[in-house]
Amino acid sequence: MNNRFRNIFFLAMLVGQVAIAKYYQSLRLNVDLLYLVIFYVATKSGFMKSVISASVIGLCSDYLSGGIMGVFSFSRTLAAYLLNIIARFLDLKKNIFVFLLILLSLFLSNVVAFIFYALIFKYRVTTSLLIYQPFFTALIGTVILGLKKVKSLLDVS
Amino acid sequence: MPYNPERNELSAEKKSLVLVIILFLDLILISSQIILRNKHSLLQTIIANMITPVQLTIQKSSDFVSSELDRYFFLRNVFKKYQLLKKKQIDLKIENYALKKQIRELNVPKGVQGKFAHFITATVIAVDVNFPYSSLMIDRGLHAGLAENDVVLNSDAELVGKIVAPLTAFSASVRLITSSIGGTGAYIEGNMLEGLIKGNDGPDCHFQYLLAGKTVLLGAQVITSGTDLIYPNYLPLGRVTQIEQDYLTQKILVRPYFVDKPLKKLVVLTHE
Repeated sequence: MNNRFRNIFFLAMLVGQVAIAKYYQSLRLNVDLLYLVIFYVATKSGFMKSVISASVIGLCSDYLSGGIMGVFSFSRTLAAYLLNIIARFLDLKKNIFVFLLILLSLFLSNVVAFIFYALIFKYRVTTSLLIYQPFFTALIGTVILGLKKVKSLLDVS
Repeated sequence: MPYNPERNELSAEKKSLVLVIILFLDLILISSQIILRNKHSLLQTIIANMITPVQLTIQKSSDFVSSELDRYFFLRNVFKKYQLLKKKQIDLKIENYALKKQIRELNVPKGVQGKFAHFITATVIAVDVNFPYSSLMIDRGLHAGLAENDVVLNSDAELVGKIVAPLTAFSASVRLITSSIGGTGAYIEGNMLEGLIKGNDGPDCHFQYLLAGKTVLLGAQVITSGTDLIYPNYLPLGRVTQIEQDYLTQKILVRPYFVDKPLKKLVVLTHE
Protein backbone atom coordinates (compact mmCIF):
# COMPACT_ATOMS: atom_id res chain seq x y z
CA MET A 1 0.00 0.00 0.00
CA ASN A 2 2.74 2.37 0.96
CA ASN A 3 4.68 1.60 -2.17
CA ARG A 4 1.66 2.19 -4.35
CA PHE A 5 0.91 5.47 -2.60
CA ARG A 6 4.55 6.48 -2.89
CA ASN A 7 4.51 5.85 -6.62
CA ILE A 8 1.28 7.80 -6.93
CA PHE A 9 2.90 10.57 -4.96
CA PHE A 10 5.97 10.64 -7.23
CA LEU A 11 3.79 10.58 -10.34
CA ALA A 12 1.63 13.36 -8.99
CA MET A 13 4.69 15.48 -8.30
CA LEU A 14 5.98 14.86 -11.82
CA VAL A 15 2.69 15.68 -13.45
CA GLY A 16 2.32 18.72 -11.27
CA GLN A 17 5.79 19.95 -12.18
CA VAL A 18 5.14 19.40 -15.89
CA ALA A 19 1.91 21.37 -15.55
CA ILE A 20 3.67 24.16 -13.68
CA ALA A 21 6.43 24.28 -16.30
CA LYS A 22 3.86 24.41 -19.08
CA TYR A 23 1.68 27.09 -17.55
CA TYR A 24 4.38 28.96 -15.71
CA GLN A 25 3.89 32.17 -17.71
CA SER A 26 0.19 32.38 -16.92
CA LEU A 27 0.27 30.96 -13.38
CA ARG A 28 3.39 32.86 -12.29
CA LEU A 29 3.86 30.02 -9.82
CA ASN A 30 7.43 29.05 -9.21
CA VAL A 31 7.44 25.79 -7.30
CA ASP A 32 9.77 22.81 -7.68
CA LEU A 33 7.61 19.81 -6.87
CA LEU A 34 10.27 17.41 -8.08
CA TYR A 35 12.49 18.67 -5.29
CA LEU A 36 9.99 17.19 -2.82
CA VAL A 37 10.65 13.82 -4.41
CA ILE A 38 14.37 14.40 -3.97
CA PHE A 39 13.79 15.43 -0.38
CA TYR A 40 11.72 12.37 0.32
CA VAL A 41 14.20 9.97 -1.26
CA ALA A 42 17.19 11.66 0.39
CA THR A 43 15.66 11.48 3.85
CA LYS A 44 14.22 8.00 3.47
CA SER A 45 16.83 6.13 1.42
CA GLY A 46 20.54 5.53 1.53
CA PHE A 47 23.33 7.50 -0.07
CA MET A 48 23.41 5.86 -3.51
CA LYS A 49 19.68 6.01 -4.15
CA SER A 50 19.38 9.61 -3.02
CA VAL A 51 22.34 10.89 -5.01
CA ILE A 52 21.51 9.06 -8.23
CA SER A 53 17.81 9.88 -8.07
CA ALA A 54 18.67 13.52 -7.35
CA SER A 55 20.91 13.60 -10.39
CA VAL A 56 18.22 12.10 -12.65
CA ILE A 57 15.45 14.30 -11.24
CA GLY A 58 17.74 17.29 -11.65
CA LEU A 59 18.11 16.44 -15.34
CA CYS A 60 14.30 16.36 -15.56
CA SER A 61 14.20 19.78 -13.92
CA ASP A 62 16.75 21.05 -16.44
CA TYR A 63 14.63 19.75 -19.27
CA LEU A 64 11.42 21.21 -17.91
CA SER A 65 12.99 24.58 -17.10
CA GLY A 66 14.40 24.82 -20.61
CA GLY A 67 17.75 25.91 -19.27
CA ILE A 68 21.20 24.45 -19.46
CA MET A 69 21.27 20.70 -19.09
CA GLY A 70 23.24 19.60 -16.07
CA VAL A 71 22.98 22.70 -13.90
CA PHE A 72 20.05 21.57 -11.75
CA SER A 73 21.35 18.03 -11.88
CA PHE A 74 24.58 19.26 -10.33
CA SER A 75 22.92 21.43 -7.69
CA ARG A 76 20.24 18.87 -6.79
CA THR A 77 22.87 16.16 -6.36
CA LEU A 78 24.71 18.33 -3.87
CA ALA A 79 21.45 19.09 -2.10
CA ALA A 80 20.56 15.40 -1.88
CA TYR A 81 23.99 14.69 -0.43
CA LEU A 82 23.46 17.43 2.11
CA LEU A 83 19.95 16.23 2.99
CA ASN A 84 21.13 12.65 3.29
CA ILE A 85 23.69 13.66 5.89
CA ILE A 86 21.65 16.21 7.82
CA ALA A 87 18.45 14.17 8.00
CA ARG A 88 20.11 11.77 10.37
CA PHE A 89 20.45 14.43 13.01
CA LEU A 90 17.03 16.08 12.74
CA ASP A 91 13.65 15.11 14.05
CA LEU A 92 11.58 15.36 10.93
CA LYS A 93 8.38 14.56 12.82
CA LYS A 94 8.18 18.27 13.54
CA ASN A 95 6.89 20.15 10.53
CA ILE A 96 8.98 23.20 11.24
CA PHE A 97 12.14 21.19 10.68
CA VAL A 98 10.72 19.81 7.46
CA PHE A 99 9.93 23.32 6.34
CA LEU A 100 13.32 24.70 7.30
CA LEU A 101 15.23 21.81 5.82
CA ILE A 102 13.44 22.06 2.49
CA LEU A 103 13.80 25.83 2.48
CA LEU A 104 17.50 25.91 3.28
CA SER A 105 18.54 22.97 1.14
CA LEU A 106 16.63 24.25 -1.86
CA PHE A 107 18.02 27.72 -1.30
CA LEU A 108 21.58 26.40 -1.25
CA SER A 109 20.89 24.23 -4.27
CA ASN A 110 19.50 27.21 -6.16
CA VAL A 111 22.49 29.31 -5.15
CA VAL A 112 24.72 26.76 -6.84
CA ALA A 113 22.51 26.82 -9.92
CA PHE A 114 22.52 30.62 -9.75
CA ILE A 115 26.32 30.63 -9.85
CA PHE A 116 26.29 28.62 -13.06
CA TYR A 117 23.55 30.66 -14.67
CA ALA A 118 24.71 34.09 -13.64
CA LEU A 119 28.46 33.82 -13.70
CA ILE A 120 29.11 31.33 -16.50
CA PHE A 121 26.17 31.69 -18.83
CA LYS A 122 25.50 35.37 -18.03
CA TYR A 123 21.82 34.71 -17.48
CA ARG A 124 19.75 37.25 -15.67
CA VAL A 125 18.36 35.41 -12.66
CA THR A 126 15.50 36.92 -10.70
CA THR A 127 14.87 36.64 -6.99
CA SER A 128 12.16 34.08 -7.64
CA LEU A 129 14.78 31.42 -8.06
CA LEU A 130 16.55 32.17 -4.80
CA ILE A 131 13.70 33.24 -2.54
CA TYR A 132 10.20 32.53 -3.83
CA GLN A 133 10.80 29.07 -5.17
CA PRO A 134 12.42 27.70 -1.96
CA PHE A 135 9.75 29.32 0.16
CA PHE A 136 6.75 28.07 -1.80
CA THR A 137 8.27 24.67 -2.30
CA ALA A 138 9.01 24.37 1.42
CA LEU A 139 5.46 25.47 2.22
CA ILE A 140 3.86 22.99 -0.15
CA GLY A 141 6.29 20.27 0.95
CA THR A 142 5.46 20.85 4.60
CA VAL A 143 1.76 20.73 3.85
CA ILE A 144 2.01 17.55 1.83
CA LEU A 145 4.55 15.68 3.94
CA GLY A 146 3.20 17.03 7.24
CA LEU A 147 -0.25 15.61 6.90
CA LYS A 148 -0.82 12.70 9.27
CA LYS A 149 -2.52 10.67 6.63
CA VAL A 150 0.24 11.22 4.17
CA LYS A 151 2.83 10.47 6.80
CA SER A 152 1.22 7.19 7.58
CA LEU A 153 0.78 6.25 3.95
CA LEU A 154 4.23 7.27 2.97
CA ASP A 155 5.65 5.62 6.06
CA VAL A 156 7.76 8.57 6.87
CA SER A 157 7.16 8.68 10.62
CA MET B 1 10.44 11.20 9.93
CA PRO B 2 13.34 9.32 11.57
CA TYR B 3 16.38 8.30 9.67
CA ASN B 4 16.19 4.79 8.30
CA PRO B 5 19.65 3.70 7.18
CA GLU B 6 20.22 1.02 4.63
CA ARG B 7 21.64 -2.29 5.69
CA ASN B 8 24.66 -2.22 3.38
CA GLU B 9 26.03 1.23 3.95
CA LEU B 10 28.90 2.28 1.64
CA SER B 11 32.22 3.43 3.00
CA ALA B 12 32.96 7.15 3.07
CA GLU B 13 35.54 6.82 0.28
CA LYS B 14 33.10 5.06 -2.01
CA LYS B 15 30.43 7.62 -1.26
CA SER B 16 32.82 10.40 -2.09
CA LEU B 17 33.83 8.64 -5.27
CA VAL B 18 30.22 8.18 -6.38
CA LEU B 19 29.41 11.78 -5.59
CA VAL B 20 32.47 13.04 -7.42
CA ILE B 21 31.68 10.89 -10.46
CA ILE B 22 28.09 12.14 -10.64
CA LEU B 23 29.15 15.76 -10.19
CA PHE B 24 31.92 15.32 -12.73
CA LEU B 25 29.46 13.93 -15.29
CA ASP B 26 27.20 16.91 -14.63
CA LEU B 27 30.11 19.29 -15.13
CA ILE B 28 30.98 17.58 -18.42
CA LEU B 29 27.38 18.00 -19.51
CA ILE B 30 27.46 21.68 -18.55
CA SER B 31 30.83 22.31 -20.19
CA SER B 32 29.52 20.88 -23.44
CA GLN B 33 27.07 23.80 -23.52
CA ILE B 34 29.51 26.59 -22.63
CA ILE B 35 30.50 28.17 -25.95
CA LEU B 36 33.84 29.95 -25.97
CA ARG B 37 35.00 32.80 -28.20
CA ASN B 38 36.44 30.36 -30.72
CA LYS B 39 32.85 29.09 -31.23
CA HIS B 40 33.74 25.73 -29.78
CA SER B 41 32.32 24.40 -26.57
CA LEU B 42 34.44 24.25 -23.44
CA LEU B 43 34.29 20.47 -23.53
CA GLN B 44 35.56 20.38 -27.11
CA THR B 45 38.37 22.76 -26.22
CA ILE B 46 39.36 20.74 -23.17
CA ILE B 47 39.33 17.50 -25.16
CA ALA B 48 41.28 19.16 -27.96
CA ASN B 49 43.84 20.47 -25.48
CA MET B 50 44.15 17.04 -23.98
CA ILE B 51 44.35 15.20 -27.28
CA THR B 52 46.52 17.65 -29.23
CA PRO B 53 49.80 16.86 -27.39
CA VAL B 54 49.12 13.15 -27.77
CA GLN B 55 48.23 13.64 -31.42
CA LEU B 56 51.35 15.74 -31.97
CA THR B 57 53.49 13.16 -30.23
CA ILE B 58 52.02 10.36 -32.33
CA GLN B 59 52.38 12.43 -35.51
CA LYS B 60 55.99 13.38 -34.72
CA SER B 61 56.78 9.80 -33.83
CA SER B 62 55.21 8.48 -37.01
CA ASP B 63 57.03 11.13 -39.07
CA PHE B 64 60.29 10.21 -37.40
CA VAL B 65 59.74 6.49 -37.90
CA SER B 66 58.70 6.94 -41.54
CA SER B 67 61.66 9.20 -42.30
CA GLU B 68 64.02 6.75 -40.63
CA LEU B 69 62.44 3.91 -42.60
CA ASP B 70 62.79 5.92 -45.80
CA ARG B 71 66.40 6.60 -44.95
CA TYR B 72 66.97 2.97 -44.14
CA PHE B 73 65.47 1.78 -47.43
CA PHE B 74 67.31 4.52 -49.29
CA LEU B 75 70.66 3.78 -47.66
CA ARG B 76 70.23 0.02 -47.38
CA ASN B 77 72.17 -0.84 -50.54
CA VAL B 78 74.07 2.36 -50.81
CA PHE B 79 77.44 0.80 -50.05
CA LYS B 80 76.93 -1.82 -52.74
CA LYS B 81 75.82 0.87 -55.13
CA TYR B 82 78.81 2.97 -54.15
CA GLN B 83 81.16 0.08 -54.88
CA LEU B 84 79.45 -0.58 -58.21
CA LEU B 85 79.68 3.07 -59.15
CA LYS B 86 83.31 3.17 -58.11
CA LYS B 87 84.01 0.14 -60.27
CA LYS B 88 82.16 1.80 -63.13
CA GLN B 89 84.17 4.93 -62.59
CA ILE B 90 87.42 2.99 -62.72
CA ASP B 91 86.24 1.23 -65.90
CA LEU B 92 85.35 4.57 -67.41
CA LYS B 93 88.72 5.97 -66.39
CA ILE B 94 90.45 3.06 -68.09
CA GLU B 95 88.27 3.49 -71.15
CA ASN B 96 88.94 7.19 -71.12
CA TYR B 97 92.65 6.57 -70.87
CA ALA B 98 92.49 4.08 -73.74
CA LEU B 99 90.49 6.52 -75.85
CA LYS B 100 92.91 9.31 -75.06
CA LYS B 101 95.73 7.03 -76.04
CA GLN B 102 93.93 6.24 -79.29
CA ILE B 103 93.45 9.92 -79.94
CA ARG B 104 97.12 10.54 -79.19
CA GLU B 105 98.12 7.78 -81.55
CA LEU B 106 95.83 9.15 -84.22
CA ASN B 107 97.39 12.57 -83.80
CA VAL B 108 100.94 11.24 -83.96
CA PRO B 109 102.55 12.08 -87.30
CA LYS B 110 102.91 9.09 -89.58
CA GLY B 111 106.58 9.74 -90.17
CA VAL B 112 107.33 9.28 -86.48
CA GLN B 113 105.12 6.27 -85.77
CA GLY B 114 107.17 3.21 -84.97
CA LYS B 115 110.51 4.91 -85.35
CA PHE B 116 111.01 6.35 -81.90
CA ALA B 117 110.14 4.93 -78.51
CA HIS B 118 109.81 8.18 -76.58
CA PHE B 119 108.47 11.32 -78.10
CA ILE B 120 106.03 14.10 -77.44
CA THR B 121 103.97 15.97 -79.96
CA ALA B 122 103.93 19.74 -79.69
CA THR B 123 102.37 22.68 -81.45
CA VAL B 124 104.13 25.82 -82.56
CA ILE B 125 102.74 28.77 -80.65
CA ALA B 126 105.09 31.58 -81.68
CA VAL B 127 107.65 32.39 -84.36
CA ASP B 128 110.25 35.14 -84.12
CA VAL B 129 109.03 37.65 -86.70
CA ASN B 130 112.46 39.22 -87.16
CA PHE B 131 114.32 35.93 -87.42
CA PRO B 132 111.79 33.35 -88.59
CA TYR B 133 114.59 30.87 -89.44
CA SER B 134 116.30 31.24 -86.10
CA SER B 135 113.93 30.04 -83.39
CA LEU B 136 110.32 29.41 -82.45
CA MET B 137 108.22 28.51 -79.39
CA ILE B 138 106.23 25.33 -78.74
CA ASP B 139 103.43 24.62 -76.24
CA ARG B 140 105.25 21.97 -74.26
CA GLY B 141 107.82 22.52 -71.54
CA LEU B 142 109.26 21.12 -68.36
CA HIS B 143 105.85 19.81 -67.30
CA ALA B 144 105.79 17.50 -70.33
CA GLY B 145 109.30 16.31 -69.52
CA LEU B 146 111.25 18.37 -72.04
CA ALA B 147 114.88 19.26 -71.43
CA GLU B 148 117.56 21.23 -73.21
CA ASN B 149 119.04 19.66 -76.37
CA ASP B 150 116.00 17.46 -76.99
CA VAL B 151 115.75 16.89 -80.74
CA VAL B 152 112.83 18.47 -82.60
CA LEU B 153 111.47 16.96 -85.82
CA ASN B 154 108.62 17.85 -88.11
CA SER B 155 105.68 15.56 -88.75
CA ASP B 156 107.65 13.69 -91.45
CA ALA B 157 110.47 12.96 -88.96
CA GLU B 158 112.82 15.44 -90.62
CA LEU B 159 115.20 17.44 -88.49
CA VAL B 160 113.98 20.87 -87.38
CA GLY B 161 116.20 21.83 -84.47
CA LYS B 162 116.70 21.34 -80.76
CA ILE B 163 115.26 22.58 -77.47
CA VAL B 164 117.20 25.44 -75.90
CA ALA B 165 116.71 27.72 -72.94
CA PRO B 166 114.53 29.38 -71.84
CA LEU B 167 112.27 26.50 -70.83
CA THR B 168 109.17 27.09 -68.81
CA ALA B 169 106.63 24.65 -67.44
CA PHE B 170 104.40 24.89 -70.46
CA SER B 171 106.57 26.29 -73.23
CA ALA B 172 109.99 25.83 -74.73
CA SER B 173 112.23 27.48 -77.32
CA VAL B 174 113.39 25.58 -80.38
CA ARG B 175 116.58 26.63 -82.09
CA LEU B 176 116.22 25.75 -85.77
CA ILE B 177 119.04 24.20 -87.73
CA THR B 178 118.87 27.26 -90.00
CA SER B 179 119.91 29.45 -87.05
CA SER B 180 123.29 31.14 -87.30
CA ILE B 181 124.19 29.81 -83.86
CA GLY B 182 125.56 26.27 -83.61
CA GLY B 183 125.86 23.58 -86.24
CA THR B 184 124.85 20.07 -87.18
CA GLY B 185 127.05 17.12 -88.09
CA ALA B 186 125.79 15.71 -91.42
CA TYR B 187 126.47 13.30 -94.25
CA ILE B 188 125.82 13.49 -97.96
CA GLU B 189 123.76 10.32 -98.13
CA GLY B 190 124.99 9.23 -101.57
CA ASN B 191 128.72 8.96 -100.71
CA MET B 192 128.68 9.46 -96.93
CA LEU B 193 130.83 12.59 -97.09
CA GLU B 194 130.76 14.21 -93.68
CA GLY B 195 130.75 17.88 -92.87
CA LEU B 196 129.13 20.55 -90.71
CA ILE B 197 125.84 22.15 -91.57
CA LYS B 198 125.55 25.76 -90.43
CA GLY B 199 122.67 28.17 -90.82
CA ASN B 200 122.68 31.90 -91.39
CA ASP B 201 119.16 32.81 -90.19
CA GLY B 202 117.92 32.26 -93.72
CA PRO B 203 116.10 29.43 -95.43
CA ASP B 204 119.31 27.69 -96.56
CA CYS B 205 122.27 26.19 -94.75
CA HIS B 206 125.92 25.80 -95.72
CA PHE B 207 127.67 22.50 -95.80
CA GLN B 208 131.15 23.34 -94.48
CA TYR B 209 134.47 21.56 -94.50
CA LEU B 210 133.85 19.46 -97.61
CA LEU B 211 136.97 19.11 -99.71
CA ALA B 212 136.91 20.33 -103.28
CA GLY B 213 137.88 16.97 -104.83
CA LYS B 214 134.89 15.09 -103.55
CA THR B 215 131.97 14.64 -105.90
CA VAL B 216 128.67 15.96 -104.70
CA LEU B 217 125.55 15.68 -106.79
CA LEU B 218 122.96 18.39 -106.94
CA GLY B 219 119.77 17.28 -105.14
CA ALA B 220 121.59 14.72 -103.02
CA GLN B 221 119.95 14.07 -99.65
CA VAL B 222 121.69 15.23 -96.52
CA ILE B 223 121.27 13.28 -93.27
CA THR B 224 122.57 13.70 -89.73
CA SER B 225 125.79 11.97 -88.84
CA GLY B 226 125.42 11.89 -85.06
CA THR B 227 129.01 12.99 -84.56
CA ASP B 228 127.89 16.25 -82.87
CA LEU B 229 126.53 14.12 -80.02
CA ILE B 230 123.30 16.10 -80.08
CA TYR B 231 121.29 14.74 -82.98
CA PRO B 232 120.91 11.02 -83.64
CA ASN B 233 122.30 9.83 -86.94
CA TYR B 234 120.41 9.12 -90.16
CA LEU B 235 117.74 11.76 -89.62
CA PRO B 236 116.83 13.33 -92.97
CA LEU B 237 117.83 16.95 -92.97
CA GLY B 238 117.53 18.43 -96.47
CA ARG B 239 118.77 18.45 -100.06
CA VAL B 240 121.76 19.96 -101.82
CA THR B 241 120.52 22.88 -103.82
CA GLN B 242 123.69 24.57 -104.98
CA ILE B 243 127.36 23.57 -105.41
CA GLU B 244 130.22 26.02 -105.93
CA GLN B 245 133.91 25.18 -106.07
CA ASP B 246 136.14 27.19 -103.71
CA TYR B 247 139.88 27.22 -103.27
CA LEU B 248 140.24 24.05 -101.18
CA THR B 249 136.69 23.20 -100.31
CA GLN B 250 133.31 23.17 -101.95
CA LYS B 251 130.63 25.70 -101.14
CA ILE B 252 127.42 23.67 -100.89
CA LEU B 253 124.00 25.05 -100.08
CA VAL B 254 121.55 22.75 -98.40
CA ARG B 255 117.81 23.41 -98.23
CA PRO B 256 116.33 21.83 -95.08
CA TYR B 257 113.15 19.90 -95.70
CA PHE B 258 111.12 21.67 -92.95
CA VAL B 259 111.59 25.06 -94.67
CA ASP B 260 109.26 24.15 -97.49
CA LYS B 261 106.66 22.47 -95.26
CA PRO B 262 104.17 23.99 -92.87
CA LEU B 263 105.51 24.09 -89.31
CA LYS B 264 102.51 23.46 -87.15
CA LYS B 265 102.90 20.08 -85.50
CA LEU B 266 106.33 19.10 -84.23
CA VAL B 267 107.71 16.02 -82.54
CA VAL B 268 110.16 16.25 -79.67
CA LEU B 269 112.35 13.24 -78.99
CA THR B 270 112.72 13.10 -75.24
CA HIS B 271 115.68 11.68 -73.35
CA GLU B 272 115.62 7.94 -72.95
